[in-house]
Amino acid sequence: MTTTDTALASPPAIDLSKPIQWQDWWRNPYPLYRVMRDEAPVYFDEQNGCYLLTRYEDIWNTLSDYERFSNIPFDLIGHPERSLTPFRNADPPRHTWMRQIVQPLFTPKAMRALAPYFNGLADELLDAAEEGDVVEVSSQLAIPLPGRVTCDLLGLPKERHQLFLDLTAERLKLLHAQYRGIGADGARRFEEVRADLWAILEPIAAQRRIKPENDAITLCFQEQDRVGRDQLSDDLVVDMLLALLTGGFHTTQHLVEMLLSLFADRDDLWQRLRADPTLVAPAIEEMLRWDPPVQALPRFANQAQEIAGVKIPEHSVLYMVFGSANHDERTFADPETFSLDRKINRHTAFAVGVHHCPGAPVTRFEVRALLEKMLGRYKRIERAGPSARMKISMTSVQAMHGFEKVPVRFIRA
Amino acid sequence: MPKITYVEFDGASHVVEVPVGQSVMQGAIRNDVPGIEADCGGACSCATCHCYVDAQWLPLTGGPGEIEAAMLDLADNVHPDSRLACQIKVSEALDGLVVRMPKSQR
Ligand code: HEM
Ligand code: FES
Repeated sequence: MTTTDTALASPPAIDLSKPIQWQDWWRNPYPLYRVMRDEAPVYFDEQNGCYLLTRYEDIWNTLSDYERFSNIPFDLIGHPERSLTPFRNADPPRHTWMRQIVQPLFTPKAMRALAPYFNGLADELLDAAEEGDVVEVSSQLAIPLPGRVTCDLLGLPKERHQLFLDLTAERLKLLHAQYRGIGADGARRFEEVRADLWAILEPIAAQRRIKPENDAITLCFQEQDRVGRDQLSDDLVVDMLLALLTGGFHTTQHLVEMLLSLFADRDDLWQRLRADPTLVAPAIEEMLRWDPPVQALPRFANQAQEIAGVKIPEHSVLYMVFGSANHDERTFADPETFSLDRKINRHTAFAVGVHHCPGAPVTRFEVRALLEKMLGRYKRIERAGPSARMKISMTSVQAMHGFEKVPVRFIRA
Repeated sequence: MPKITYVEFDGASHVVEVPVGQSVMQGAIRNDVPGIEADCGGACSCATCHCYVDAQWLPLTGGPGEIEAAMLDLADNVHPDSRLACQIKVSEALDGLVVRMPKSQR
């Protein structure tokens, strides 16, 4: 997607009485979303057997109502221990308990205290990226930045970062495969990966018990000492730590890619930021609104309900289409335009409600530090080749937006 | 309907009518008042609806509850008159309430 094509002049014909061809919309679903908001704001997607909510207000109200719209998939009801994404697949009060354990790490106040760390890391990554002529944003900045930050927040020593990230990625792959049945080999490998991860964590946990640090490992094991292993098992601690790592990784990566790809296309925006660096924070919020990395996520209706006049049976799956809420003209003036001048920008990129992304302040501060350092160094970002959209085989509304490659040149001020 | 006055950090003020039973946060969000983010939608778990209750109104709104106080502990620039706007329910008695917002919620 470039700057102009969220508002395609003549979008392909959209006939909601026919099944949606999702693969046609993976680059730019916004024209489709608009028709859905106008014609079928609570749309039943027969191919996937779920409802898609596309209007801002319906999504806001649904996300704020955790009692009727649960985060626990039907097959996990009564078996919270089977969930491998413990924050996501929980409802209050269990969910509140887990969030409160790590909450102190994830406040704006905690982030402000980390400003020197974020600034130092941005300088380090930019120094390394500058050594070549062409900078490949994904691999040189967008991937290492959240990788380093999330590992550090967890409390992993630097020499363990890469191994931990690799194991986490493998676990995630096995987790996705699990839905299709991974077989005995897959299941065995899954347990091996878990054991390897535990082998990294266990000695660190032992150290933190003697000398607590300001990190997630310390917070989780302090809680384990308080409530006992029955309530907070070693496995649950591992899953919580990995949820923090995976939640913050590709999401932040794609945000950075999309921002820098946009600035390479739109020098006018870069020059406005250079003239007024206080616009960095609004620019980050606007990117999150305009093309959110996480396009949609589900909620599970635990009783029959009605939304916008549509009857929703009990045990329905409802997708909150964040990308659509963020372009709802009922809420945002001129939604297709990327604007640095929105005074109110209550987008849904981090969701709303009790599951609102705990990492939002982390993302905001790490990306702000990176952009501010770049503004001080570079008068221009030039494209050195086309950005490659991440290829996704889309079968439903659930998708990540981002790039695989963003080759640019940084022109020194 | 009770009128609530929201004052932004720079002094800009917004007077809106909020139905009894809604929260002071909802009054701001539904009327596009800047300065309150309400990331968690009123679940008392984000502290991005932080506001300061004008001294004369404190006896009527009361102080924060237990969970709210724990949440405020993690926020910036917390004063004795700090409250989370989502935890103040609007009633006829609060007609005329004035709340001020911090410079930034995030
Ligand atoms: C651009 C960056 C990010 C985006 C777009 C994003 C998006 C989201 C969204 C939409 C949710 C809501 C899930 C739901 O409602 O079911 C969420 C939850 C979550 N995020 Fe993020 N996130 C980002 C960065 C981060 C970071 C940096 C971290 C960790 C350091 C993180 C960790 C989590 C966790 C643990 C959850 C689950 C919370 C819960 O269910 O209570 N995220 N994120
Ligand atoms: S809206 Fe989140 S604490 Fe009030």
